[in-house]
Amino acid sequence: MSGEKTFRLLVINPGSTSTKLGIFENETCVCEKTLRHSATELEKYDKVWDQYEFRKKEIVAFLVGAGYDLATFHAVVGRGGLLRPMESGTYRVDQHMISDLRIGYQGQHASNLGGVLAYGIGWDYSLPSYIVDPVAVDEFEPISRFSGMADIPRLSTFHALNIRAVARKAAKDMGKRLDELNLIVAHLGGGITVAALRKGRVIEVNHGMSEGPFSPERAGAVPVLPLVDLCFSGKYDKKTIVRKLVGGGGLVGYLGTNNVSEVESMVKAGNSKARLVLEAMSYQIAVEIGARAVALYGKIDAIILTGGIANVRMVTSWIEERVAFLGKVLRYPGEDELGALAQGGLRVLRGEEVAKIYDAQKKSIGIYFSDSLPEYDRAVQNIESRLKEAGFRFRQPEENLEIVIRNCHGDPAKMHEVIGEFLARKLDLIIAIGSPAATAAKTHLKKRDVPVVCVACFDPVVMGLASSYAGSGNNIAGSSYRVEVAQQIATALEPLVPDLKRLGVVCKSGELQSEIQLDEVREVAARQGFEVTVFDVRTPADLAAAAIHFATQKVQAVFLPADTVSAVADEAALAPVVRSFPTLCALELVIQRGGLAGRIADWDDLCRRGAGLAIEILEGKPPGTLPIYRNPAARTVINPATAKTLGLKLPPAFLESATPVEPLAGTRESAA
Amino acid sequence: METFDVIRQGGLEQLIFCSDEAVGLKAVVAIHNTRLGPAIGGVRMLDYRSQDEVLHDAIDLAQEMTMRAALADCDLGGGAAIIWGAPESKSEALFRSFGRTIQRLGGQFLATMEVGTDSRDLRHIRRETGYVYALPEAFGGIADPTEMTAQGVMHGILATAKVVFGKAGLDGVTCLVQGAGRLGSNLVKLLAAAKAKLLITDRNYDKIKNIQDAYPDITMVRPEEVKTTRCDILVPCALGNLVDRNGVERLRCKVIAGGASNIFPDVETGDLVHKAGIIYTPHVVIDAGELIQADHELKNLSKTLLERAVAEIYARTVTLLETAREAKEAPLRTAMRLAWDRLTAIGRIGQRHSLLEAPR
Repeated sequence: MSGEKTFRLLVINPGSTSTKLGIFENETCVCEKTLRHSATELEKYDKVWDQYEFRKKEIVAFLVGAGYDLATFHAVVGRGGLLRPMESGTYRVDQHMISDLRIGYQGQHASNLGGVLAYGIGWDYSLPSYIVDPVAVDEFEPISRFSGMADIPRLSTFHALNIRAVARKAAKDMGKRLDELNLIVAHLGGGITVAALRKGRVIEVNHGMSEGPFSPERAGAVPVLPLVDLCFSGKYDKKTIVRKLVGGGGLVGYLGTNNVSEVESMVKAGNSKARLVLEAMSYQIAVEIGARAVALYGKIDAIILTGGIANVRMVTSWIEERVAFLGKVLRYPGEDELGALAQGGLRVLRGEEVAKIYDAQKKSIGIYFSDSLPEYDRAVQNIESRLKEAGFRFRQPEENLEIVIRNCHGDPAKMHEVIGEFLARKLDLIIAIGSPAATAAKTHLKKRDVPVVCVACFDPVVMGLASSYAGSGNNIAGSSYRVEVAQQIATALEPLVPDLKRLGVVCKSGELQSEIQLDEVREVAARQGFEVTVFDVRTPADLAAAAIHFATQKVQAVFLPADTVSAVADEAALAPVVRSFPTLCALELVIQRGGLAGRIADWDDLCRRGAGLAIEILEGKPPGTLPIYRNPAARTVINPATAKTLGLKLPPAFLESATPVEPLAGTRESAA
Repeated sequence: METFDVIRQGGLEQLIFCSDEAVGLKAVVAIHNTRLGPAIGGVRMLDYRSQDEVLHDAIDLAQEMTMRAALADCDLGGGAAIIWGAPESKSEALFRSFGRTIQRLGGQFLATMEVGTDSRDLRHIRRETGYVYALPEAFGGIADPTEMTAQGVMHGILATAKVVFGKAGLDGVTCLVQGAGRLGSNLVKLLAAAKAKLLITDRNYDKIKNIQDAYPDITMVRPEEVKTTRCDILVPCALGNLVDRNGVERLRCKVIAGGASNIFPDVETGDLVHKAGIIYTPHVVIDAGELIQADHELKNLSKTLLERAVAEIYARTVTLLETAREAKEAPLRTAMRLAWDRLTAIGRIGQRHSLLEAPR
């Protein structure tokens, strides 16, 4: 188009023994060069990273020799490497990215040099440097991360650059925007990955090394138990096994070649084994496409075959025969990585996209809780407020902290799912609010790599999360809301029921914290000489029966402990008990819902202290060395309306020391 | 400007032009002041745009060296040598030809390394003349001169931190090192060992990359962002004016202390920096390590004594900054005054320092 500004870009795509260069003027590649590096040249370097200076000199020497002045370029774009999981797009290379490329966050690979070469050349010539759609692109949804084995979450590692470039091209050819379409894109190369793109995001794809169909040189998914047997057979070392799976698998394993055109010729020459193997590979690809169709609920705008094998008609026709019923099949043979990289850079230079910032320095924490409770709502508010005070910025453009909040809506399976999601996302820290979340943390997070702060749980030591109050000795820190039952009775029950002979106790047997509180009540009863009547509940609905039982047993008061029944019981469920008896409540929200009185830990303080522990951990302190916070400023809380209903006359001394309960706030329903 | 006007305005004693077309040598040697002893100066090799620039730099460097030697309690005068040419055009023949020029000066000028030359080049010069000093130990010196300079600058930075921040040590102090060359990279090691919070910049990425590979926590700063980057101490170790009169208010540092020459275009800019509340510790006071090494080599003193003399930069810096504070003037002005006082006092002795015997 006349008048359109011409951008000149240098594109660098390092491979293990070569560096491919492209010089682009807008979309047109005006110069392409492959700089080949001999084994002798590369063997001097212990690590891929150390090849930087050598490769950079080669690149600059080529450009100078070819008469290019780097000062006339507008940007340098490099192939992205094995970085942290990230969204798709064009990223500005910065030193945080360089740091991760240096250590090889997800492994060492020649592509790790792409970013640093772009950065180095860009720095010297004051040019912006970018990477585009690295293999680490990860847009999985939580449901896609389950492998079926808790120790091995599924990861998104695929041919992101070509798949996304081809998807964009197809969308353009269809006259649509990529974010309007549902596509299945099968990259058919030395490795094969089949991606489901929902509105432009790759929500499901097979791992390029270990899942999906077999490919020219990779085994893809193989039967697991026979593989385990092979691994432990003593016949092979790890390197050999890996070689059988990657490099020596697929067509290489069956036919001794990774050249699909050669196999096609064998088939045409009548080789029946070659035909069966090649047809099997095509069949597996079609099956994988079918699986992606399910991920998209069958709503598919097109199925796209791309990569070098998309040139092999025999393979594509076999695939098309099986998947044509799902939708139209388009072929975009070959791959143009240099072009895809250039286009990513161009979109930013033209202002069509904003270059994303790699967020290695940005911390990420996950917060989860068991249900929609106002206490948990307040906990989140307190935690966020404390984090803000410490200088963390979140939910704003220049944030340095990402907070992922998950409400499990009372579903234990959901809690398990959330923890799996948090682990897969490799968060810097997880905060479990409340006792049910802490219990789940004990089962699924204790002794894992990620630090966990159990904020406002019953008691981390008693619950088995920590070995001592001086420090958990593991990956967990926390704050405890536990107030000893003896203290609760002395301060919040005895002044109201001075001559206590029989106390009813609601208990959820099997729930550790509920049983511990019952034991404590029994100890106090033995010391003080009153009797205890226990009623076992499973759900809040059981409280009505409890009230009847307590009436028949002529109890004078009832203890409602801190457990999952009391916590979720609403006013109606509590009413039979709290309107019939003076109640000693271990949770403030029970008092708010009609309970009489209690000795209550300062919830806000507990949550802020818990957030303080999280801050210390984010700043580098080991969680296991941080003391459990368990000395909250407890206060006596009374519900005057309930006292009136029960016809109780409150002693003046009690009234002076007690705090009237605050009204109930709304709940956090918005947290996904 | 006429050459004699250049000499007069620069306050030079001599200005020597050298040319050897056969080897592509074009050079000048500026001798500024020999009241304290023979003129010592670095041999700089750069591809200047004009002869005026060459002379301008030669005079500046020679004047600074006079001041540096006077303040460092050395028995040396100030000079400078500039080989006009791209460092890529270096050759043995070029440096040997220049070495013969120095030899012909009979000890009036003593050569050391400067920007654009390294110990290998100086070794070529030394094949023609003995008037070469402060080479690394491997080449006959008594210490590594870059290390001595870095140590001196480090002592100066520590002293400045003590006077300005009232802090012993640099733990947690943010230091932005501008320039990752010989001096800058040596300083990074010392600053990192002192637990300073480090930032670094250089126009050449490869130099920074090597440093960042060794110190992954170091923060990189784009060259164009140096002036506006907030830090406690800006440590200039690169060529060129750091700040002009218009740029003073953009500076976001509290202290400037490093080893780079000519960071201000003139003394008045230094005054403006001072008025802006930024303490500039004059580089001529703290980057004298190499000079002190040459002085010790001339006097056949040991490396132990050399290190002790370099460590005295700490006390000298504290005295200078406190004197400046009392006098309510920029430390650069104080340094100039103190240097001039010494030159005047020794100059009154009335006997010019005898030239050294030519060591071959």
